[in-house]
This record gives sequence, structure tokens and C-alpha cells, in this order.
Amino acid sequence: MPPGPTGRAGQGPETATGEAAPAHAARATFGIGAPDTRADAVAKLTGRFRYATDLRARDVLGRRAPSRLGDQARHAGATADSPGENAAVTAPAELYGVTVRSPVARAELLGVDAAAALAVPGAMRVIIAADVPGARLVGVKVRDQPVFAEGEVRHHGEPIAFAVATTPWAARRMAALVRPLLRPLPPLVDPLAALAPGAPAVVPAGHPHAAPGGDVHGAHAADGAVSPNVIFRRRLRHGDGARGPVAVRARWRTGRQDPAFLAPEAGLAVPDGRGGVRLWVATQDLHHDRDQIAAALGVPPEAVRVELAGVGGAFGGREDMTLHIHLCLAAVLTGAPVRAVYGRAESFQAHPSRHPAIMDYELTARPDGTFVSLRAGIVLDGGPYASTSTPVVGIVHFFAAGPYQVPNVDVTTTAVRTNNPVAGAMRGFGATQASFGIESTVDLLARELGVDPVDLRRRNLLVPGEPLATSGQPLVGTAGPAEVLAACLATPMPARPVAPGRRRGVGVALGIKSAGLGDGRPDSAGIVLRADRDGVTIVSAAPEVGQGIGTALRQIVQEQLGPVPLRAEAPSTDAPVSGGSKASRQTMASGGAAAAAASRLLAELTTRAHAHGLPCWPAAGGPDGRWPATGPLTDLLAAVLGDETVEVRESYTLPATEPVNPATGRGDIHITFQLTAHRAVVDVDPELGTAELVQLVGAQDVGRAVNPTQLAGQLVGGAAQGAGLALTEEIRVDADGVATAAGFADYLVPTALDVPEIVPVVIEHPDDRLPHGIRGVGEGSLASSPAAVAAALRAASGRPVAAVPAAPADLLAEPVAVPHAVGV
Amino acid sequence: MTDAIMTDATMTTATTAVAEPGVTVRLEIDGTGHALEAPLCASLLDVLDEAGAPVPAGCRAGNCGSCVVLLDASPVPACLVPAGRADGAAVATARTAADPALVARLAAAGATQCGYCSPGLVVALSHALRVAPAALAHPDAVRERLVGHLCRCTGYAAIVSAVVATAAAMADAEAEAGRPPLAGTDTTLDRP
Repeated sequence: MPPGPTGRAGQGPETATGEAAPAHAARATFGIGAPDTRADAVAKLTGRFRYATDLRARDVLGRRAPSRLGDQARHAGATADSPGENAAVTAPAELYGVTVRSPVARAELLGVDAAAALAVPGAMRVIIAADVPGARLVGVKVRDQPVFAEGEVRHHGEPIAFAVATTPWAARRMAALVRPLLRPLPPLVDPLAALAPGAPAVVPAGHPHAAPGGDVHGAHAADGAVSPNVIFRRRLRHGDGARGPVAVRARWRTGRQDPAFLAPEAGLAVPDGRGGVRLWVATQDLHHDRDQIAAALGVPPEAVRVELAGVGGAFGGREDMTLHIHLCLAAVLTGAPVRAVYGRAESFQAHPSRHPAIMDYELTARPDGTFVSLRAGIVLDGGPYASTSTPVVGIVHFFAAGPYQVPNVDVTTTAVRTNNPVAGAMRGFGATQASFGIESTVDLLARELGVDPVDLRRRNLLVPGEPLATSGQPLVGTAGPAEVLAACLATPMPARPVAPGRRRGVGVALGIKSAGLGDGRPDSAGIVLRADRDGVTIVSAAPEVGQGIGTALRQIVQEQLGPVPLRAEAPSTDAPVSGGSKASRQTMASGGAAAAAASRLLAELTTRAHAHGLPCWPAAGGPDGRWPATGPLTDLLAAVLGDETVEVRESYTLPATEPVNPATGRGDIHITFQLTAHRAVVDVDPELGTAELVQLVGAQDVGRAVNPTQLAGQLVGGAAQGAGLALTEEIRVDADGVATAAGFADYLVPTALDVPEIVPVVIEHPDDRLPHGIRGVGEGSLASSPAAVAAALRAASGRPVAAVPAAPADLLAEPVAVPHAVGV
Repeated sequence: MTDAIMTDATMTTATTAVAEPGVTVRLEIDGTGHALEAPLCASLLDVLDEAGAPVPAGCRAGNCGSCVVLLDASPVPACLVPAGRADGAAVATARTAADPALVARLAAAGATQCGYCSPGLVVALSHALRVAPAALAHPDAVRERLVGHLCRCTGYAAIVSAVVATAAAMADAEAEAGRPPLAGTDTTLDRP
């Protein structure tokens, strides 16, 4: 094999078939750019990978005898307010918990009758809000969400109690027998009504729930009146107020998409006998979980150890507390290990969805198509609790104008409390909604002007270095939007002809989203590398949720140390804080820490090599530019280290950002940008209203492709989720605020036939401000893909498609009088 | 709005809280014999879990395909099989039913990310490749075959390409061995 572009060749990782990986032969064979196969691939494919859903106490405790801690802990945990426990049962090796949830969107909670549940054979305990010894309110950004409902339930599916028994079946029967005493109250389900001054408050004034989520900048309406339900609002207005002679206006809506990770929530909590607890759980942020659990238990953070259990997908849906505290509390109160696994319907209820958005846009232009002004009023339905509404508002807001030059901008973005299900993080994190709003409006303007929508875009795109129309931050560190658009459009159109009776439409959209936290928040990660004669161990708390951070970290370490054997410890709170696997940040943040630690380890090994009179560590790829085989590298490690272990601990902080300037509503608030363009080809049957995606091309500037195979998986997989948002995916909520999705029969995740041809197009403009030029990529594919599919639906059907997902009734040639909710 | 205290009509009373009637299920799981006690309501999925041979359970309703296993050599979603119906049967999970060549190609193609869908679709596709490899030589045919399996991470592209490559390699091996291709050679399958 010839040397790759980095001048290296030699012992690359082989594919499991024994062939050298052929697809990227021109690339590096290890380190950054190599198509490494993820270390857990074969275990996952052959059923040997252990997920959180599989975990049993015996797996983590070995064959230890059943704990006798149960007796003392039951006494310690008993409280006067507790609905009770079954004292006749001795704690076995493992208990099982099932959550009791509110069947209604809003009701007064008068009490919980657990008598019948506790009569179930095997019943151990029913846990309610009064049993929470510490903070009864938690939250990923704002601590406003009850561990268990207390006094009032505010959304369908809100946890009321946790039934614990000796078997899953007994716990399920208990949960069915727990009687929450509920007096229904009228739910507030219309986000616009909730936003009206004088609307009833979803959480009462003065109640801790009503604590504003940080800076409620501009929360007051123009007339000074304010809704009690604003979670967070951002407003910016700049320019001279000019408007162009050509104007379009529209109201756009996006639906309640669910992350729908395939493995439902699961965890196992084991008490340590000293009031603390160990939790194995599928999550996106171990330390953040630990801190919330410790607060609720009323113990110091050190008393809680959280370890990552095998994660079956996340997509933002594992950022918030679900069963974490319930399990830990149950373990502490019963003195026994407690596990829980959600069902699919419960999973839909338990984690937040993407925020449904109502977006009023007005875009004006000169007759030649040059944009003059943009006004946008965007309302996000947050549900009753804040979750991540505050940062989502920021992302929608600052990408509301897309990657376009607009001299006059007036944007207000508000997240509002309702009694609908809680909304929070989902991949795209607001950029998805923003792209749908601005791109749909640009298409509308193209139609009004009678010009090609792509030409209209080209006329108005930002060029690198120009300030974003909203934040004013210069667009630097990335390819220009025009280059990304051109790369997308250069992909050949699909070969498949249009079937008789169908109409084909093509839609194009651009997307922009930040990577990293931004907004003045410090964004850093730590890591430990430990070298011994057998290789290097990576100790990182960065959760591997399927995205491949474990493989990325290995490649970044090998970039400097060569193809040394690598091991990884299971991520846990014992490792340095890495921050969450979210905001497309982990390959930048933990990757940056890995690069720094590998540099230090390299220096350490070289020093020791010199001290032993050995040749220095072949940092530059050896004397002839070639790395020795893995064997000689371990020989070298053994010679340099003997029986010693060398440990380096490093952290990396991403470039600083500014907080939003409260006076102007602007600022250099983002670390870097993910720029995307999607082109969708859709065939619509105008008589049936059915739509078939024929091809979806997604181009993205990725900075630098750490692993081309995994990168393609991010771009294709995210685009498929975007197609789902445009076509079929929606948690429907009825007029009473009750979410009706019960499973994958009515929440329609795209199948292999629904997303037949997705083409990833990779552009690499390394961001020189970031380690190795690596930019996070995970969310870009969900910025513009739904908008492109919606544009194609409009082109094919001739219908406005003002809301996604588009129902068949929205795509019929002749509109018929059927309710919008019919369809799919 | 009503002032009445709401009770759920489906709630039963304490008098119904009796021990679950049970059943003993004898199973051979990946070649090892088990005798498992399970409630009558248990599924094959539940008893596999109890036996320490868990399979992923994405929906427990037959929609996602993550729990597909071979039951007496036929692929079934374990969640839809009452445990009692499986009594005396041989069950093969991905631990023993996975085709090694397919696994190798799927791994190299990046066809598993979170991997929760992987064991079920590996069982189903390994079975399909064994029965009629030529039927999976065309991407559209693979996509048809995959419809019972939801994957949330990959967008399916890597899975499809790996299966097509495996099927092609198997067909080539058959041709070299001078044997006629197995049934299911129609590769012109049109999408509906």
C-alpha cells in the first residue's frame, strides 16, 4: 500500500475480514483520517455487548451473597410521610422498579394510595415525593422539575411514584394498583394562549418552579405586559428599519419529534451502605447526572458514583433525569440493588421531545432579490418545565436568519410553559426549527419574485468573514455557505425515473448550527492516559452513546503515539469531568484533551527513552517515515517503561466565547459553526397524498474527518432523522394534553425503504483554532435536512406545506376537508 | 372540569393481588439447556433475559425487530412469542446465529453505531443469506428485507451495502463451487 497523504503507511488496523480497508485506501491507516472499525462493533453485532437494559446486580457485584443492608436501610429510610412499605419481605439480591405516571396533563395531586399496591406478593415499597430527602426539584439547566409530582401534576406522564418489588411482574402489578388521587384541572395546551399576558400560570408565581431561567432578557412584551409562562426569551433588533418592496410572510410549524433512541431508558442502582449509591445508567453526561442525583439524595457528590452502562442511542434524549434519581432513592431506601427498564410508550413520555415551534416570518427584498429585512417571532412549546429550553431558545434565535446577509433584523424567540409534554434537547437543538423557518421563507420569496430558489440563495449567502445577520459574529473557521451548497448540488440527481401518476419535486436548503456550548460558558474536558508495557489506557468520562467518541479518542491518541495498543476504561464519574456528549462538542473537547495528553505522554516517553539510551519515541513516524508494527511499539514501551506505569492527566478548554450582550442582544457567542446544505428529491402521489423520498444529499463542512466511516454514518443517520421529521415523525398530543404515541406503530421512525438513497458529501476545512482542526459534526445533518425535504414536497405537490411532518392531506392535489391530524 | 376525584377505570383492587400463575419453560439457548420459571404472561424475550441471555428489546411490540432470534431455526421477534409456546424449542441469538462474513462486513462498513438494532437484524439477515443469498444481491431487495428492523443511527446505507457485498461474495463462492445459485435469484425486485 502506498503511503497515505500524511506520508505514513505500514501496520494499519485491518478490517475484521482480514483485508486492508479498501474504501479509504488513500487515507491514513491509523490516527486521524483512518477508517478504524469501532472497538465495540463485533460485540454489538453478535449480541455480546451489554446494554443498560441487560444489566443485573450480579453483573456488577459478582456472586456476592444477598445484602443484609436491607434491614437497616429500611428503618433509616422510613418516614412519616411515606405511604409505606412491606416490612415482611427481606431485601433480595435485586429489586425492580416501575414508575407510576400521571394519566392526565394537569390535575391537583391530593395524595397517593399505595395500600393495594403494597399487598402485592413481592411488593417492597412505594416511593413518592415526600420520600425525597434532598432537593425535590432538579433540572439539567434550571432546577424546576419535580423528582416526583407534588401537589399538582403538570404534564401527561409526569412521575408520581416509584413502585419497587422483588420481580418486574410484581412491580408492574404494583404500579397498576397505586392510586394517585387526582382532581383534574384544565390544562393549558396552546402555546400562543399560554404566552398571552394574563394567561393562567402553569407554575404558580412565587413557587420555586417559577424561578426564571437565568437572564429573561426582554421577557416583557412591548406594552409592558408579561405572560407568567415565559421560560426564556431572546430579542434582537438592529438595522435602520428599512423594508424592501417585495415581501413575503408566513407562519411555519414544526412538530414534536422524539429522539426515539432504540434502547429504552434503563439503569441499576446499588447502595453502598453508607447513604451513598452507585448507578449504572445509559446517559449523555455522567457528572451532571451525579450532581443532580446527589442534590436529590441530600448527599455530597462524592457519595454518588455514576458509571456508563451500554447506551443504545441518545440524540439529546438522555440529557435529562428520567429514572436516575428514582433508582438511586429506591436503592438507598431499600438497601438493595434496584433496576428498571422502561417500555417504549413510557420512554416516549419520560424524556423530552424536540420543541414544537410556531414561527412567524417576514422577509423583504429588493426587486433584484437582495434581502432587506427579516422579522421573526418564534414560539417554542417547552412544556411545564425548563429542561434545556433556555439554550434551545438561543440556538433557534441566533440561526433564525440562516447563513444569509440581512441588514435589518428583528427576531424574538420565546420558550413558553404549557401543560404539554416537556420539550428539551434533540439533535439539531433549535437549528432544525430555524432552518425550516428561514429556508421555507426564502423559497416563498423566490416564488414571489419568480426566480430560481438556488439563485436567490446564492445572491444572499454570507461569505466567510462576514457577520451573521443575528449575532453579528463573523463567520470564520469554516467553508463559506456557497461552497457547501455547490458541493451538495454537484452530486448527480437520482437515476430512478418518476413512476406514472406521481410528481417529482426537488428542494434545497442550507443549515447552520454552532458546535460546542458557547454563550460565554466555559467548555472543557479532562482525560487521563496511562501507559504501561502493554499499551495505553484511556480514562475518559465522555459517554459513548453510539456516535463513536471512543474510536475518535483512540485515533487522536494514535495520531501522536503511533499504533500503540489502546484500552479504555468504562466512562464513570471517577474519570475527569468531560462534560456531556451533546452540542456536537465531544470530539472537540475530549478530543482536544486527548491530543494534549498524548503530547505530554509522548514527551514523557521520549525523555525516558533518552534516559535509557534508547532511540527516541518515533514521534514523526520513525526514521523513514514509517511506523514500526504494533509489536515493536510494545517492545519499545516495555523497554522504556519496564514495570512502571506513566500517567498523564490533561484538560482542554475550547476557545472562549462571549455571553450575549444584554444591551444589543448580540455577541461572538459561538465557538465554531457547522455549515450544511441538503438537496431532497421527492415523488408525491397527488391523488393519495403519499410522498416517497427518492434521494437526499447532505453536504457538510466537517473541519477534519477523524474517521471517514463514522463521519459518513453521522451525516447519513442524521439526514434520515431529518427526513423523519419532515415526513412521518410526530408525538401527537390531543386537545387534553395527552400524548397518544404508544410505540413504533404510531410513532413512525423511517424504515430502510423510507430513506433509500442518502448521499453524504464531506468538505474538509480544518478549523485552525481547534486541536487538529477538528470540528464537531453530529448535529449538522439535522439542521437543513427537514427543510430540504419540505421544499421538495412543496415543489412536487404545489401545496404550501406550512407544517412538518406533512400529512397526506397536506399533499393532495385538491385540498379536501379533512382534519389535519388525519394521515400517515 | 369536575370536582370528582378521578379514578382510573382499569385499576383493580387489592383482592386481585395474588401470586402470578407460572409456567416452566425448557429452552435450549445458544446450545445450552435451561429450565426457567416464568409468569404465564411472560414472553420468550422475558425468559431469555431471565436466563442471562438478554436480547435487545426496542419496543416489545413486534415493530422494531431488535429482539429477533431463531426459534427452531426460524427468525421471530422474541417479544411476540409467549414463553410457554417456546417450551422445548431451540433458540439461537446473534451469539450463535450470526454469519461471521456478514458481521465482518457490517463492522467494517460502520453499519453499527449504538448497535441496539444489530443483533436482531444480524440474526434475520444471516438467516436470509443462508436460505437465499442471491435474493439479497440488490440494494432494493435488502431494503425490503430490512423493513421489519428499525435502525435509528445509521440511516441504513452502511447496512445495505454490507449485506449486498456479502450476498455477492456468497453467490461468487457458489458459482466457483460449480453449484447452481440457490432460490430467490430475482434481483429486479421493484420497490412498491
